[in-house]
Amino acid sequence: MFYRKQSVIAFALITYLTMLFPSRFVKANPSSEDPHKPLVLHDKQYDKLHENAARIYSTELKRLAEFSELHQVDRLRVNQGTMRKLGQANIELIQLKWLALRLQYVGEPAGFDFEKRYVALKKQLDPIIVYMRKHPDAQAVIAKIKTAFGRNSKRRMQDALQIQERVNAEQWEEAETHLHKSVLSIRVGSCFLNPGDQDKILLPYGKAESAITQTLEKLRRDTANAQLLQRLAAMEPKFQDLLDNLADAQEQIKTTGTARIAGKEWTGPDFMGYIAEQWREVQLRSHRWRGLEWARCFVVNDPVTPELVDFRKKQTAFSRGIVKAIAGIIAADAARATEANAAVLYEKYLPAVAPLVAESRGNELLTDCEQALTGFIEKSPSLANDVHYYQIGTSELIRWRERAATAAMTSRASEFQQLGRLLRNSMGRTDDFRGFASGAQGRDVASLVMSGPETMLAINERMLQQNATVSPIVFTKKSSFGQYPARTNTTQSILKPTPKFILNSVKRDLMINEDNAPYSLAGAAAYHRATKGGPTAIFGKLEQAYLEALITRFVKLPDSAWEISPLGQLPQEYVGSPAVQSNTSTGAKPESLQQMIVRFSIQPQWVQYGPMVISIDELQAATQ
Amino acid sequence: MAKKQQFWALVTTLATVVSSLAACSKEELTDLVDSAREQVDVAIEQAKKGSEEIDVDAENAIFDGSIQLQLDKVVSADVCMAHFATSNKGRPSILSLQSYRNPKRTSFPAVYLLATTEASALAELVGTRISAQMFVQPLKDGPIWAADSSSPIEVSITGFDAGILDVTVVSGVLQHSDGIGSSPISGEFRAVLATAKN
Repeated sequence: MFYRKQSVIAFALITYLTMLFPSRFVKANPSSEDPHKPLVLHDKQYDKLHENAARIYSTELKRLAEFSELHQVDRLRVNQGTMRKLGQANIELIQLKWLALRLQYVGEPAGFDFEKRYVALKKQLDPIIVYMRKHPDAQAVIAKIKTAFGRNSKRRMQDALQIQERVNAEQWEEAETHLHKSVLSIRVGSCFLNPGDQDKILLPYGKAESAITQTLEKLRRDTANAQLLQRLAAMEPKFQDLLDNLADAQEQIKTTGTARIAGKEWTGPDFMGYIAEQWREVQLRSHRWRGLEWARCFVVNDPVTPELVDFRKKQTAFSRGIVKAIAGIIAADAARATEANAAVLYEKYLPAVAPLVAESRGNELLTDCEQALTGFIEKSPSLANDVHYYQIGTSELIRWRERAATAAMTSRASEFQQLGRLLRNSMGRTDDFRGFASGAQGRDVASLVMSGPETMLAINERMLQQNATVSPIVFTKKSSFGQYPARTNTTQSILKPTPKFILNSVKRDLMINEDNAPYSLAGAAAYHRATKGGPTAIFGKLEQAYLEALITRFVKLPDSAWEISPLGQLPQEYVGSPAVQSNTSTGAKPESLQQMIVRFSIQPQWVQYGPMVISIDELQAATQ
Repeated sequence: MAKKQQFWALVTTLATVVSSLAACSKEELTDLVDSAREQVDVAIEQAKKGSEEIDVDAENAIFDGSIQLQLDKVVSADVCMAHFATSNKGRPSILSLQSYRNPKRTSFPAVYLLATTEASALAELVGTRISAQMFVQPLKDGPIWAADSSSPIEVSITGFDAGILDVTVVSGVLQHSDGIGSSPISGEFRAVLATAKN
């Protein structure tokens, strides 16, 4: 009864956390429910710019929707009041664009989206303004506007000169504020004049405007670059420090059997726990660092910065190096082992290394560590027999269980498309759709061609309620989410740890009972996966979608979500083609700000737990 | 290797004959040639015999067992390896049969059978029936037929001689990985014991 009560409380808590998950991570990103929410920032210092842009977008979206509707049914009143409102909308949109560009210069994806939103709103506004410009009832007002501009031409010349003086004095911010004020006061009315007339009116400001725009863009990019470099330095993964620690530990273990690292004395197996913690930290920092460097790529206008290239090299070398280092520590310990203690050490190493094997999902660590563990096996004939016995009883069975699970998944492939493929198929460019997702450059890309809201509405229409399959699933204490393949990411509405009857079956397969733990590394890793988590794959219906910028997703990755990709692996991402030559004048542009991830909430219908695929009804019946 | 030796024996004989020819009379020559002919015939005969023996050895060496099963269709494989392992810790012994030598290079159809038994040696199993889990994958990456430990099949060990184990499926039903289909299974394994242990 007590346990039942406890499990009910646990389930309620987990459900609560699931509900919390979307709101915590997508405070304001566009979602199925509210496609017009802006993309969130990764740097709070630009909150004010962001808020202003969001406010303008939201106001003008509403205002222009009303005008467009009236215009379409030909019930737009053509008078000074309407023209004033349209002129106001025009200058609000100009400000939206300025804010969008400023956010881009500091590497915020929201800026890219705001510019797309500006374009979308402008497409609504322009036909109405053109309609007014030609309408007979507007001509009297237009004549008045013309007269006023004619009367004030001298004053504009003087105004432009004052701005130029500030430019000459390099008072850039003040010059910009002055210029913007002047431009807005002109364009609120000039939009009703012919384009040629508009240009003439603005002509005196041209020289100052281009100097201000260019200089401030450069200054803003430079400042952002300096700040980003500082943030990057602070979050840089300590690849070499960890490798040095491991090399040091290996030397010590080789001679004494223990290692003093980070102020603590470790045995070899205990030290595996320390490595796990450190490696996860490096993984988390790698995700965040790379995300932020993509932002910097845009800021410095280089699609592939030398720092990014260097990071890639270091990260690859580290991933290889840490595998060798872990195996090296085991081998060093095994070299010292005697027939008397070989089995004890072997048994301690298995559960210690298993989480790393499970989390890295790669065969390299498994193979290298298995090889290193043979050092213990060679010391003891009795251990050798036990290991051989366990291998015969489990290794092929594990392989066949995995094959059977894959076959069970494949048999559902026609009904449930892999989520990344579904995104590509549903959101790819066609003759009548501007597109969003593609498999270009040999990897999955999802980038804003339309604005965030337009993209979100298309996702709602084309993808929600579709069947999809997601794997692998990562199950943490706080949440469960789909590991990150192909620019998609999921959260699940059903969170349950591996049910007891499945866990029992896994134990039977792995020959585990009260007296016997797994006796091979592969077995220990399989058991770790089963006990640690919930489903490994989900087949279900897509319920809600959330649009997230690639940069922001990774820069703001929560601590618990380091496993968004397997340990030691970073998903390859397209953020722009590198320049053909060393300078970027060859036309290569960073495309990092427009790269997106779509996160879906998914309602499971079938669930795979390790080797078993069962329906959600069966699962619920079995766990009641 | 043996074949190579036979060849060199033949060459040496012929060389001896040819070198002797240089210093002989006509009569002696005829005798020598006849004798050489005889020797060559013997050598060829031996070589032939030898090569036959080699073929038999090779046949033995490459006999990897066989599997003949009747599922929804006939499934056959010309490899069947048996593994048998016993525990130091009083746990049941394990018998496995598989249609491939190296798991990393599985050929298809692929078959795997796994059973536990209280017998401590394979010879003790002859004439007994044991339950087993079984998996069959007719094609690479294709669907899988399986009977796991919750509904195992039953097999009979009909013989164990000279490292060859004979196993007959007595009864059982395999489930299809589509979650719907099932099929009764029958058939036989003739397995080569792969391990020297126990």
